Amino acid sequence: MLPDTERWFVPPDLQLHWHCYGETCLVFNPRSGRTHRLEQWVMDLLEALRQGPVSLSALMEHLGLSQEEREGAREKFNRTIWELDRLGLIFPAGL
Amino acid sequence: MKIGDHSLEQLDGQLREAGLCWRTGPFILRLKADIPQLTPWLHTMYGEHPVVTEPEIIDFHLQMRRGRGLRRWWRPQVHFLLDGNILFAPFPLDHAPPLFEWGLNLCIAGRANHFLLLHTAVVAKGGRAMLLSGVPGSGKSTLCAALVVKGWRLLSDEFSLVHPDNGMVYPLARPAALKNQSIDLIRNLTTENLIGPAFPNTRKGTVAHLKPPAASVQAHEQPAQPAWVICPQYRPDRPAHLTPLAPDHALLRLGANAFNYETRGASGFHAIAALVNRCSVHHFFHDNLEEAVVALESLSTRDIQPSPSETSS
Repeated sequence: MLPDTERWFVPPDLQLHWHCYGETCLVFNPRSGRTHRLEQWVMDLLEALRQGPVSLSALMEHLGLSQEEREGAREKFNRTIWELDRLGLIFPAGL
Repeated sequence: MKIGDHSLEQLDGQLREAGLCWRTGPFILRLKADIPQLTPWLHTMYGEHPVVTEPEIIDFHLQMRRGRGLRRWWRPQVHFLLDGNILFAPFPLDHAPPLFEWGLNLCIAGRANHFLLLHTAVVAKGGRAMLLSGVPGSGKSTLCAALVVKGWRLLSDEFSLVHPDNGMVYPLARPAALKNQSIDLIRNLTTENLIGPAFPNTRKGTVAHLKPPAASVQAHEQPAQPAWVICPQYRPDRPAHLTPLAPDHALLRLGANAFNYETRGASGFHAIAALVNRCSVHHFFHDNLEEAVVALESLSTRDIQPSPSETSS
């Protein structure tokens, strides 16, 4: 589980490219040269992280999840953040 | 002047001395060779290609040279060189033509990065291109050759040269490599003698080449507009059937099969997305070559407008 004090962001100089087809988006990361298939809600999450460093709780709040929904979604968000970090699409703030 | 306008003696002399310079698609190459087995093959297979007498820029300086050392007396070999450097292990001397073709493919795949290079066969009709995308063994080259024998224009049996700015596919009409059972399958489709000698026991089995039609070679300055992407798969007991392929799957598939997708970076990503958006994209199972050609002919008479992607960066 990621600590809630940790904040994440998409660096301003990371210019992601994407095309969306219905609820699926393909994102090209120019730093890695790799293309990833993401669901639309993950794109919304990336968009939120482009605005600046955000913690997991603040992110879920930003995306409009109620307190009850946040508890249920925390594990999914944790896993997604971990994956996006692993793929080099987001970075922890303060490194 | 075309390569086929030379006599075999003239051609052999040119190859041995200054080297023969010719144009294939957007590329100009110079080949020096002291391989007698290669000359008649080039004379036939590249007979329609234009000789370039005073090239300003040569894209590929190639050489084919016999192996040296004692080995040459009992198992002669041939090397393929680019810019004087041997690129890979030698082939048996009597496999010089397939080595030349594979060597030239490697040169193009490694250097022609001003194009997005998709690993597909491409044919065209009426200025509209059909890209045949598949892993080795899927039957794309066989299907490509069958369509060409039935009158489609050959752009390439190996590469889609996609211009990243205008999205057009540029032609590279070279001999189409056929392997193993495909050779007789294509031979049986026509009464014309379009297929060159067979080379048994290569790394890919027996290989023979379909001569590119004269009209395809002569159209070397005419790109085609991509209209269809077909992912063929030969499957026994699966009658010819087209199934639409989702654009996101098509984009990932074409990117994975491109030679220089990572090198092209974001422009490659957007170029494939644009190509997928403007094409009708299908899986295509078939178990009979002639029926497969009929099915693709039928598709080509229809106009299917795919839905474009909704957003992009």
